[in-house]
Amino acid sequence: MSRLDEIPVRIMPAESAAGQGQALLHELAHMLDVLLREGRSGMIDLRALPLAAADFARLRAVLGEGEVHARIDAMGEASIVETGIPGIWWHTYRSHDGDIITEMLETTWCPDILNSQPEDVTSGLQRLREQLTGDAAPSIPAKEEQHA
Amino acid sequence: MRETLDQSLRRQGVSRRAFLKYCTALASLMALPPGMAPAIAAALGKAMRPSVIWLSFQECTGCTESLTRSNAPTLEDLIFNSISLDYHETLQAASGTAAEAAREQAMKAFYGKYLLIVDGSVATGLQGAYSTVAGVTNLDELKKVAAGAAAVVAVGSCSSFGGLPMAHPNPTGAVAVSDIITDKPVINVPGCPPIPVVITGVLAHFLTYGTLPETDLHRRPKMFYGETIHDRCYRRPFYDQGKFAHTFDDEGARNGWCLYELGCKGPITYNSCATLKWNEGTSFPIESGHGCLGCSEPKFWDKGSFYQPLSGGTWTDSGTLLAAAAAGVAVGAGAAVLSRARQHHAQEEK
Ligand code: SF4
Repeated sequence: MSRLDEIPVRIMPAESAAGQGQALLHELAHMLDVLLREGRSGMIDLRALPLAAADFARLRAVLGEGEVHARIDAMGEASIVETGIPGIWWHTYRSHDGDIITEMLETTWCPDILNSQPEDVTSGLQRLREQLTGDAAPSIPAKEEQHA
Repeated sequence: MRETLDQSLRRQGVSRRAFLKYCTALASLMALPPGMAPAIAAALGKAMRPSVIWLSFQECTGCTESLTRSNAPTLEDLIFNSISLDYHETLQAASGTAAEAAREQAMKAFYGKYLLIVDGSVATGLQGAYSTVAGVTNLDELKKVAAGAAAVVAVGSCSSFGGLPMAHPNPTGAVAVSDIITDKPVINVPGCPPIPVVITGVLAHFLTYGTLPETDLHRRPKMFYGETIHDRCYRRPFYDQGKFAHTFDDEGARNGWCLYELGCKGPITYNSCATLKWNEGTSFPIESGHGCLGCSEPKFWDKGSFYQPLSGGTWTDSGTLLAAAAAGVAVGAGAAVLSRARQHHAQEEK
């Protein structure tokens, strides 16, 4: 016997006895209702809950995947997917090594992290201006090329 | 003057969006709502990187091993971006007198402001001679370095409660850090070892708010030690139904039933293993088929067999559980009462 799956002990039950997935789906329905009526966003930190694999499977099966798939490359990859239920977004943030560091469900019109951040826009604008100033000068190397 | 974290990150070309992502992970670590990430980013961005001195006493280096396996946020992110680790015998490149000089320099420059982290218990027998570094006893070193610290974090069960070195017959006269340091804020982060993200979570709280988080009776941060393993255990429904594994290979074990009768100490152990889990969030001991050992509780080494049910062991500090029959739902109710009684007791003692 050399492989783990050959050991005849099933460590976890195939189905979660806790049924947390179902409870979360009810909570999400309530949060979506709040978003529609009051415009208030909400978030559930999936890592803070004692979820079994079966709970995740249930959530994924019911929510499915929708029209928007966004990928962020920032200190490790992050995927932000609108689920098949519009307004519910599944965030998965990974470290440089690819390990999941946070997993959340958000009810919102559009996740804020997808917006450009003012600080980044400011430094981007600065880089663009430097580029433009740099572009204005290269007429000199062009002349040198003519001499060559 | 040390730069702020914002300045440091900008210099390294880290985008605000990446920082927000990092802060969302931090919020999760600190058991705060994920919506707090922007507020954390604002507070953390302005923070000066605090100087951290890490001392290792009677320990096995398991706590440092645990921390260096931390994935959320990565150790590099946390240590190299958010704190200035000025002394850590295992991790620092410097050695010998150069290392000691670096520590002296940090202590002088940041006197009264640096954070002291300690792993390992403190030997007090023979005036502390059982454990020395560079000819100085751990006892003297602790007193000297703690004198200039803003706060002390005791990482691991050895520094928090004495741990294995203090187990009977305690040949070195080992004690906890809080037995020696009584005039500074001391927070305990017990566990053998502690969950890596719990260590980083406490540091993250200090970085964000400049203070240590709220603690329980045993000086443990409530945000990580506020509930028992049993409170958040995914096997809990089986416990409530009175379905128990009686051996490690019986039908109950194969079906993932409750491990109470195999000695699980989850009902009286305060820690976050059931939610934060181990090995990049893969699982925790109970999920792997073994009961909780209660490693984040004081004196867990001296409390009898890991495989004896709580109802028949020396773990109970109340007659409540002993009165419960060691079977079925009756045990479920009995242990739950004990757990609640302990919490109630702890609150009353506060
Ligand atoms: S006794 Fe242990 S295995 Fe059983 S529910 Fe409680 S923590 Fe989980």
